Amino acid sequence: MDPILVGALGLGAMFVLILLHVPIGVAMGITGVTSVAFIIGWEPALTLLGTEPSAAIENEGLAVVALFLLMGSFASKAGVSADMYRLAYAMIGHFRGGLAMATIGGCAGFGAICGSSIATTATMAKIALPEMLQRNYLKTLASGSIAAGGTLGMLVPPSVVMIIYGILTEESVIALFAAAIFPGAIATILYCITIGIYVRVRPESGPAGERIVWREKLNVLIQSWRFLVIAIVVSGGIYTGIFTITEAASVGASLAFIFAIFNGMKMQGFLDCLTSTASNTGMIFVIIMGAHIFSYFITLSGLPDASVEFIKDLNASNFVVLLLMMLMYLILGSIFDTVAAMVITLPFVYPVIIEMGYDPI
Amino acid sequence: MDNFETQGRRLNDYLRLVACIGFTGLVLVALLTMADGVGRWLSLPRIPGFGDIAQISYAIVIASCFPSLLLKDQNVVIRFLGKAVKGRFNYCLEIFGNILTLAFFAILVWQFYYLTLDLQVNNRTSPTLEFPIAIWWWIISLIMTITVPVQLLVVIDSIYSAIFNVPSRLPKEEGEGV
Repeated sequence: MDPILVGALGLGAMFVLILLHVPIGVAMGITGVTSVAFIIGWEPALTLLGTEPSAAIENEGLAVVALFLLMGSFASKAGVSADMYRLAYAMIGHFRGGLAMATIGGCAGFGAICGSSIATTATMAKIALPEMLQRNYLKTLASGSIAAGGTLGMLVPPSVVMIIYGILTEESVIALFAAAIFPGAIATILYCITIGIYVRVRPESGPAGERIVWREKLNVLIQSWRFLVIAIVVSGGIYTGIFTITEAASVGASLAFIFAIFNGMKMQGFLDCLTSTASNTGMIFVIIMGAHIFSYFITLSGLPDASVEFIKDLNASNFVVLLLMMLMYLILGSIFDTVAAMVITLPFVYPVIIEMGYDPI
Repeated sequence: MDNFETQGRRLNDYLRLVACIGFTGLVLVALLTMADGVGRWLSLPRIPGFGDIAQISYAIVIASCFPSLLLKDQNVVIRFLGKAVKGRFNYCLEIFGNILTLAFFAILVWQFYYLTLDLQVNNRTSPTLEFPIAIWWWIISLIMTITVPVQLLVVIDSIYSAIFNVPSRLPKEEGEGV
C-alpha cells in the first residue's frame, strides 16, 4: 500500500479512536504501531512500543516536565502563589477592576515558577476568586480573568508545553523560553487593558480597591521574597548559563520544597504534592509516548512532505496559511488538551512552518 | 460499599504509595542535582557519575506513576460523544477505550521485557560509572507490569458498569492536565 495513503488512513483512524473514548496517547500509539506494521511489517512495528516509550521515560530533557510540575506543586503549598497575588494587588489593586488585573499579574508571576496553565488556574482560583467575590466583583469578570490569566501559565517561561515542543522538534528549549518572554508580557498587558476597558463599560463589574501607600507596597514586596528568589534563581540560572534546564528545574523544585516545609507543610501536604505531580506527569507521558510512536509513523509515511507540497500547491500567502493554522488550533483547542493538540499536529505543522521560511522558535 | 469497591480503594492506596515512593525519589534527585549544580558553579567536587544515576532514576520515577494513573482513569480522553449519547452506549465506548488501553500497556510491557533482556544479554552499562543497567530496567519493567492487571480491573469494572448500567465502582479522579 502507498505509504502516504497509509499515513492518511492512520491519521483518520487516530481521530476515530480518540472520538471513541480511547485515551489520546494510546490512540496515537496504537495507530502508529498498526500503520508502521502496514508499511514495514509487524516485527519492527511492535519493537517501537519498547524503544520509543523507554526512550521517552529515560529522557533527561523530558524529566524536566516532572520537575517543573513538582516545583509548581510545592510553590503552591509554600504560599508563593498567594504572595504573588498580594504583590500584584498592592501595585494595581486601587484601579477599577484592579483585583482582576492583580489576578492576571498573579497568574503571570505564578506561571514563571510553575509552567502549567491548569495548575496556575487551579491555584489562582482558590486565592483570587473568593477575594473578588467578597469585593462585589461580577462572577463573569472574576472567573473570566482567572481563566484567561491561567493561559499565561504555559506562555510565561518556564513552560511545560515549550519543553515538550523543544524535545519533539529538537529545538533549543532555552531559546524557546527566551522567545516567550515578550509574548508573555504582551499577553499580560493586553489582558489588563481588556479588563480596564470592560470595567469602564460596566463599572459595577469591578469596583476599585483601596490605595496602598508606598511603604506598605515595599513591605509586600519584601514579604514576597520567596517568589523572587525562585523566579530569579530559576530564570536567571537558565538565561545566564549557570544552570542547565534540568539543574534549574531541580533547584527550583528544591527551593520550593524547602519553602513549603518552612511554611508548615505536613506529611499529608507533601504526599498530596507528590500525588498530583505523579498524576499530571503520567498523563503527559502517556501522550508523549504515543506521540513518539506516532511521529515515527508520520515521518515514515512521508505525510509531512506531502502536506508541505499540498500547501505549496495551494499557492496561498503565508498570512492565509497562518490564519488557517490558528483557526485549526482554535477548533482543536476547544476539544483537545493543550499538549495533545500540539503533539498531534506537530508532524505536519512544523515542516510547513519551516517551508514557509519562519523561525521554528 | 461492596467488596469490589473496598478492594479498589485499597488498591488505590497501594498504587498511590508506589507513585509517592517514586516521586520522593524525584525530590531526592532534585536535591542532589541542586547540590551537584551549585557544586559545579562553586568549583567544588562534583558527585561522580551523577548523570548516570539521575537518568535511570528518572525512568523509575516516571514508570511509578502509570499504575495509579490507570486505576484512577486520569488519561486524557475526549468524551463528548459519550456525553451526547449517554446510557449503555457511553459505557460501551468506555469498554472499548479501556480494552485498547489494556492492549497498549500489555504490548508495551512485553516489549519492555524484550528490551531489558537485550540489555542483560549484551551486558550494557551506564556511560560513566559503568554499572550494569539491566537490573534497573528489570525494576522498571516490574513496575510497568503492574499496569496490566490494574487496567484489566478497569476493563472488568467498565464491563460491569455496562451490563448493570451503574457508574464505575473504582476510585476515579479527573486529571488536571497542563
